[in-house]
Order: sequence, then C-alpha cells, then structure tokens
Amino acid sequence: MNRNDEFKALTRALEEEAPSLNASLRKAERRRARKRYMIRPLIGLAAVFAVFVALVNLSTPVASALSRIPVLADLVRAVRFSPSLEAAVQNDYVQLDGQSQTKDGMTATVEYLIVDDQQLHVFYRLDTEEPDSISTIPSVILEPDVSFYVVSNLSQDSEGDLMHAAVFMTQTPEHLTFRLQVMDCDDPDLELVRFDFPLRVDTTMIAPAKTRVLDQPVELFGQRFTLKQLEIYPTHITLHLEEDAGNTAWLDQLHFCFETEDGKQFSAGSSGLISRGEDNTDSALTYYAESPYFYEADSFKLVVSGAKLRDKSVWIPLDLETGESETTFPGYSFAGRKIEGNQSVVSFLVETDSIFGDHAWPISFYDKAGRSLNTNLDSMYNEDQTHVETYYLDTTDRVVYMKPIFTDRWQPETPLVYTIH
Amino acid sequence: MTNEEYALRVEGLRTRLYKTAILLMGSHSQAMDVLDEAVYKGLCSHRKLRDPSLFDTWMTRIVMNECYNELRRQKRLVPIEEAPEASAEEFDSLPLREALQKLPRDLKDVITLRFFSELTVAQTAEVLHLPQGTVASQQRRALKLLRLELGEEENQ
Repeated sequence: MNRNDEFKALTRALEEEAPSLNASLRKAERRRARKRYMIRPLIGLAAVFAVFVALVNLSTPVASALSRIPVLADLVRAVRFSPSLEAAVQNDYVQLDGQSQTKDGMTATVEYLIVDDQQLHVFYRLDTEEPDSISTIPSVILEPDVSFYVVSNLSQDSEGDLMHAAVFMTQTPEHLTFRLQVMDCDDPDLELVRFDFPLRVDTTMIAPAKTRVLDQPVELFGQRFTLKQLEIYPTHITLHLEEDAGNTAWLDQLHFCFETEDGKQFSAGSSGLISRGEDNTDSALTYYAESPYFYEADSFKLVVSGAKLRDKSVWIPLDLETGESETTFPGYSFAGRKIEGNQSVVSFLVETDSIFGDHAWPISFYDKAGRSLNTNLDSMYNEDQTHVETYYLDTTDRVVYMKPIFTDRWQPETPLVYTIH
Repeated sequence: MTNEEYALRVEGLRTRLYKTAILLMGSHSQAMDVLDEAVYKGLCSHRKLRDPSLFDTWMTRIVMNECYNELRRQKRLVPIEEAPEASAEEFDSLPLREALQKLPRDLKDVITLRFFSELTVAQTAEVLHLPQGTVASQQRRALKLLRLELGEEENQ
C-alpha cells in the first residue's frame, strides 16, 4: 500500500471509530447544571478584614416539629447547618416577609427574616426558567449611619430552593433595602436582573443581647492577649479580645468553641464570618461563633484549643512580571498580571482543595511602604481543578509584598477552659 | 446560538474533532477525555461566539488547546525547538499513523488540521495563529517527510 492509500485507509478507520459526542454533551450539561457558583463576599466599609469559611452543610438533619409545617419545612432545611439558627426557628424567632417581584421572567420572593441586633438573615427564593445559567449576588443598602461588615451568600443557586444571605452589621436598622442581582454565569460581570426589596425589620421583636465580661489574660505562643467580653445574641456570639502592644506577632486566628454542660458544642463561623480585624492592628480580635442563646443552662464553657500567629517582621516579595517569590504556597500558582489603568489585575490558579484549606496564602498585598494594595477579589471555582483567584491591586509596580496569613501555630496539650455563667 | 444549536453543531463536527484529538493524544480513551473537556468548555462559552460561521475553527481550537493542556499536564509536550527531528528514512519505515506521531509538533499540527480536521489553509492559520505562508510551507515539508501527495481534494 502506498502512502496515499495508507492515508485514505487511516482516514476511513478514524471516521468509522469516531463516536457520537452526545454522551460528552450530556456529561457537559450535567456538569454545568451542578452549578459553578461564585463567591464574591461584599465587604462593608466597616470591615478592615474578615475571614470567611466554606459554607458546606454537613450537619445531620435533626427532626423538628416545625418540619411538619409545610410553610416552614424549607426554612428548617435551610438552617440545618447552624445550631443557632436552628434553635431560633424552633423557638419561632422568625419574621415573615413575603414580598415578591417579577422581572424578565424571573420571580424573586423574600420569605423569612431572622434578625438580632447585629445580624440579619434573609431567606429568599428565585424562580427562573434557566437556573443553570445564572448566579445571584445578595447585598444590602443601608442608611449612612449604619455600616455592614459583610454579606455572606450562604446558598448555592438552584431553582425553587430557599436561598439564604447573612448580613453582619454594626446595628440592625428598622429599614433597609435588600438587593438581589442576578448575574450571567458565563459573564459574571453581566447583570441580567436586579431586584430591590425595601425591608422593614420589626425591631421590637429583636431579643436583647446578653453580655458577659471575661477580662481573662491569656498567653498564646508567648504573645499576650486578654479575653475581654462575650456578647450573646440569638444568631451568634461575639467574642472580643485585646492584645498587648509589646507582642511581636499578630493573632491571625483563635481556635475556640463554646460547650454546654451536656457536651453540645457551638463552634465558629458557620454563617460565613469567623473573625474581624480593626484598622489599627493586623490581629483578628473580634470572633463570631454559634450561639447557645436559646439553650437553657446555668453555665457554659469557652474552650480555647489553639491559635495561629504571624510574626510581625515577615514580608515576602512577589515579582508580578515573572511570578517569582522566595516562598511558595502549596496549591497556589501565579497565572499572570494584567495592567488596567492604575491597577494590576493579578491571577492565581488554585487547586480546589486549597481554597478553604488550612493554608498560609496571604490574600493581602502591600507596597514597599506597607500600604495595602487590595481593592477587590474575584474568586471563581468549578468542581474541576480550574479555580482562579483574581486580585485587583492598586499599583502598577513590578514587585509587591505579601504577608503570609500565619507563621506559627499554637496548640496546647490541654485546651484552656473558661466557665461562663 | 442556543444550547440545542450548539449540541447539533458539535455532533455534526464529531468526526473532525475526534480525528484531531486522537492524532494529537494517541489513544482513544485520552481523545475522549479531551473531547469531554472541550465539549464542556464550548458549552460554557458558546454564547460569546459572535460569528457562528467561525464555529468550526473555534471548536477545533478548543479541542487543540485541551490536547495541549493535557499533554502539558502529562509532561508529554516537548517544546518545538527541543524536539529531535527524525530523518526521512525513519519516516519511510513507519506506518503512517506512527510516522505522524514522529513529526515535529508544528508539522504535526498543520497536517492534522489540514488533512484530518479538514480545515483550509486560512482556517489552519487562524487556529495556529500563524501566517498562511508559514502553514503552506510547513504543510509542504510535512508531506515531503511523510511521502504523501495530498492536494486540496483530500480535505474536502
């Protein structure tokens, strides 16, 4: 057989073995329908920095009397991840809203609110014919005298299911606007529809916070702090710390939980915010945890099991032209920098397992003078290995500086326990 | 383009896309993995394709990119300048399919796209981001090495 005959035979053979791509198309449709969703926490002006957690509901469903009431069954399902919210629902600590708007074939409905002095949980629904091609961004518009720290999108988008956003504020106001932006999945900057709901919170129904003063000195890896005070709200507990000015390390994260006498644990951050910083320190000194507010007991315990600290003197330069850095962060690799006006748009490829893992990835970038350069962050991920984090930095400099999230871990052999009455 | 139109166009291109994938990847299973990924990526972004007449070229480019991504991942992608060049005699002694695999990457790309993916010189140049003249000269060189005498009629 000469070469041309061989070519014809090979072509024919490949054409005969070429399978239909319908199976690939079905797989692609299913994969797309599993929803990629976007994490874009909206950082409020009052927040200097905040630590977020992956919001995956792994808790075992607990049968509740309310789950037999159809109107609240979906709410009971939606709050299973949070012992505080679950207890709030079981104690009828829920405000009904019921506002509905229809635009461009989509109907958004605000169903329920769970609210205390500093947190507002909005449960809403979005009905659309194309749930696979959209994602949602909830946010709030507040009067100038109220600031919010963050709005957490606590739900994956799916047609008909109850979705959930949590707003962390300085003080819950009586009136605010809940905004729901519906975005194109393929073009996350393209807003398809915007719903604005004027919400009225019945502030007379808000349960008052309970305050417990601690004033307990604590030494973490040679650094001195004081556990100052607890504020116990229906939806969460806020733990306040103070740090010693002579410390050589910042407190990145305190690991703790609350424990009742019968061993029930209330841990940190299930509503999306673990901790918060202030503008005069790099330490995280305000912490959020699940609350035993509705739990009837004479006392409960604060259990401190560890901490992560960052040496104040450690800075890591990163060359934005080449991606070279003297320190590597497992799971993160430099993908490139684009200059747009006065900004650098810097992207990193991230292995999906690393996104919410226990890692020292910096997130924050600085110039040589120590000025923070971060202006925004887009974080897109799929269920494959193609997660991309894009940072918008307020500089065109070639070299920026990173501070790792932590340099030291502290883990005592025996946890520190404080009894709270 | 709707999702249904996309599905029809992809299925209509199946033979060409398969030939592209299998010649670059070397095995049926790897070709199918690449096609799965390419079909998914195409599904996610076909709405951005402004000119539907460019669909064939666009989809072929996605498949090609996915092949390279996978080869790179497997560390099988040898940079063009580092690839050893086989002699004409070596090509003669090999069956055509194996001889194709032995071609330097740039020549293999051109032959694959021109005579198996059935793209024109202009479309091949578009996919590979090369001038048409370069495509034409690489095509001549590859055909000479493979001792093939193919003209336009073979890729209709």
